[in-house]
Amino acid sequence: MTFGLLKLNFSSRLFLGLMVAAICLPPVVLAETLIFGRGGDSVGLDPARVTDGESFNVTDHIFENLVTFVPGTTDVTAGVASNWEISANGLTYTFTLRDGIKFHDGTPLNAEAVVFSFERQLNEKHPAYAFGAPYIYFKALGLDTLIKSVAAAAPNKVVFTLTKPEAPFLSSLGMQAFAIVSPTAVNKYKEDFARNPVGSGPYVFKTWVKNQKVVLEANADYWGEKAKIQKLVFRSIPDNNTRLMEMMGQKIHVMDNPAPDDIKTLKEKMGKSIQFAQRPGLNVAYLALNNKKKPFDNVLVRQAIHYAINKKAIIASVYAGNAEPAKNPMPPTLWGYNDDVKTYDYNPVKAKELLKQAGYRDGFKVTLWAMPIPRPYMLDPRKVAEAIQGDLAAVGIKAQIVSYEWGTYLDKTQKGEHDMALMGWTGDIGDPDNFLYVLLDKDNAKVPAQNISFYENDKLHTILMEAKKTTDQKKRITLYKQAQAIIAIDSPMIPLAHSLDIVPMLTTVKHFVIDPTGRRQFSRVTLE
Amino acid sequence: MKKLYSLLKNFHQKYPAGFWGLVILTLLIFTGLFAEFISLVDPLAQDYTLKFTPPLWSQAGKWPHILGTDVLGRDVLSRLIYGARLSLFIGLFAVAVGAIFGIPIGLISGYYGGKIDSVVMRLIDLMLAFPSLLLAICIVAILGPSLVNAVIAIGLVSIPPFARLVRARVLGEREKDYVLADRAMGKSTFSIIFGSILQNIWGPLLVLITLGMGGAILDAAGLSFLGLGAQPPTPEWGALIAEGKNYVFQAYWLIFFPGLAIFVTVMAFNIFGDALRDYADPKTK
Repeated sequence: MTFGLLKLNFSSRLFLGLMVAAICLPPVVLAETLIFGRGGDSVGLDPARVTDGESFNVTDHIFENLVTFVPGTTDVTAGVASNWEISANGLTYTFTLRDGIKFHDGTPLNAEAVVFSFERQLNEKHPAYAFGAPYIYFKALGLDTLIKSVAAAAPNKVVFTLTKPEAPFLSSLGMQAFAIVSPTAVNKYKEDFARNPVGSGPYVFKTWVKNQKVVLEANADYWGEKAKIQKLVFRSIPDNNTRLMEMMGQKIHVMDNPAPDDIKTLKEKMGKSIQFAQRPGLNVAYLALNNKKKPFDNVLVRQAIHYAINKKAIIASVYAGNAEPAKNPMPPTLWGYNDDVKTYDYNPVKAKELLKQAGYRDGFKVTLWAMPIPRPYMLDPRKVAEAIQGDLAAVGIKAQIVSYEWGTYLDKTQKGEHDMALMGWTGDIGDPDNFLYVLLDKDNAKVPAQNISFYENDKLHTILMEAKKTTDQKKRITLYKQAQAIIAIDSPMIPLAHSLDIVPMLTTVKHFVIDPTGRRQFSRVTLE
Repeated sequence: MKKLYSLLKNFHQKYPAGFWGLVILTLLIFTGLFAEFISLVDPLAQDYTLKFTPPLWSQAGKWPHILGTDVLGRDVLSRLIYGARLSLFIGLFAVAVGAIFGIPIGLISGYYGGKIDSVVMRLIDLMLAFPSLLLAICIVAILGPSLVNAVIAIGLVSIPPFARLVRARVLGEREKDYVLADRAMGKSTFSIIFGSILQNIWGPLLVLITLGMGGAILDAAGLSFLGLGAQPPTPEWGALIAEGKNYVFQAYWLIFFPGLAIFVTVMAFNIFGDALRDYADPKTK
């Protein structure tokens, strides 16, 4: 028997050979399009209504803020406001807007639009309030009680009046959630503005196919430095393996949230065609214990669980070493970090003892919630959950792993339906307030909560409020260190890890700057 | 004992493949029953220092992890052994559910015929119109994902084959002389159906039960793979593959061995079932 191929004539063989070559060669990717492969879809595209990075990474390109951050840092710089003045008592902020900026729909970006963008979140009687309530981020940062009024003093001047001085306020205004939106578009689309976002940024929204892709196109009329790449595609590829294959097949330019073990695989298999951007993430992954539910209302139980979990093991195995164990709810790269808090080195014997003292000699049953998609601070939540499940079983606690679709997961945890839930936070600004106040203050333990540990401590609240008010950096450091010490003793949640942010991309991608706050910004990126 | 030996010998001579299927199944049952004594390591014990230890025959292999370890350092072989127990239970219970409901439905439908038969068989047709795994997924979606619910779902979708087979057989049997004799003797309908007739169609049923076990194990693995069956840390075979697939580039043994286990088990059930069918069918003798 002979192989069929041998019988073919020359031209057929040539044709076949070319076919094989065409399949083997990397596909030619158009320079005008950059495809970003990420682990999950956006929840919504109205920046005021969402809290997750997958949404913000898109809105970040469409919208702009009064102030923004110098790329790659958390330093505040001018945004659509060219300059600003802060009154001596720290209560009045006056912003002067740049001239001639227009939203993508042609509406002028003036003081009126800025007032509209804040009023719709601040004022329950505002006609647009109902289109997007609840504004979780606005409340999580306490802006609903902090901002007394926003007013247009002139067509290009906006005045914010605060109820009390607050040090992180200016940085907060640079967060994606407080972007300036087109009033015309919000009034036109109402609730559907989340699917038809209109801003003034370097990219214009084109289409969104749910669970597949979001497509943006460069804004030809952008007032600042125009985007270099014509088309941006945010593809959702939730399966880690599929995303890896797409990267290896060069079907995507930049890959988000690679599974920790895949980084080695990418290096080995792709060699010179791949590069990695890397920096310690401004993040924390944690296990929230629902303090409102039994038995987590008991501090002994919370401490016991802290002792029972082997963070080092989780990092060595599931994180493949690309993280460091956490002891505080904020990362050590941030100022004000307290290295001397009470620590809970892995000690199952001690954990059992504490459980016995708390009256749970035989342990108990709980649900352990795990995120359904990879997050920058935790790339394989289900495996982390399994590791924790094993650790807890060793001290007699039976944990059942529960998971929901991402939007539902956020919604249900914000309502406090969980016993224990894995979660994490990437800082939006370089301020401890953005971690400690958001994640653990009693103000944020109200549904829909960002403090999904539902931890309420008046002493901590006093310290955090004091730290917000002060502008004296030294005093703020002392206060935040105190806050971390209190949190460590009370153990309302278990900080697990601060992960390294690693972004694999093709070597043809240039000028991508990895951001400490985990943003994925492509406005300045070019393709070779 | 001697009789059993000669029976086996006879079976071996006529159906060597089926005989080996039986041997594999016996080994599996043995493994499942004595999992505690056979496995060298606790299947749930985690040890991060052992992460991705390859199987023993590769250079980095470590005793006693004969088939290597997973990302949390759990022993693959021990998990497979405990998984064998689960898989056999799943097969047994799912088929039991199918048989317990399917056989009486088929008997009654076939014996009475007429309207009852039409109604029952249309309902069965309705169930058959859906792909069985899809139907099982729907049922699990309603009941919630857990191993018990997966078994119930698979059991429910295996009712139609039983009902159909039994009905077809009963249609052929009900006019036979022994049934007429039973009737003439004044036996109750119940004892005719569940006594005489059932006794006479037992052969093909046994075949369906054997073949059904293999199918049920495969379906359960499928559901677990989709996250709808066994929940972590339960070492069900399908769940093991689902876990392992994330690390296919780093640790092939995480999906290779559970896959092999499912393949061998299902094949053993199938070739044994086939042989049993030929054995039970007088025409092929």
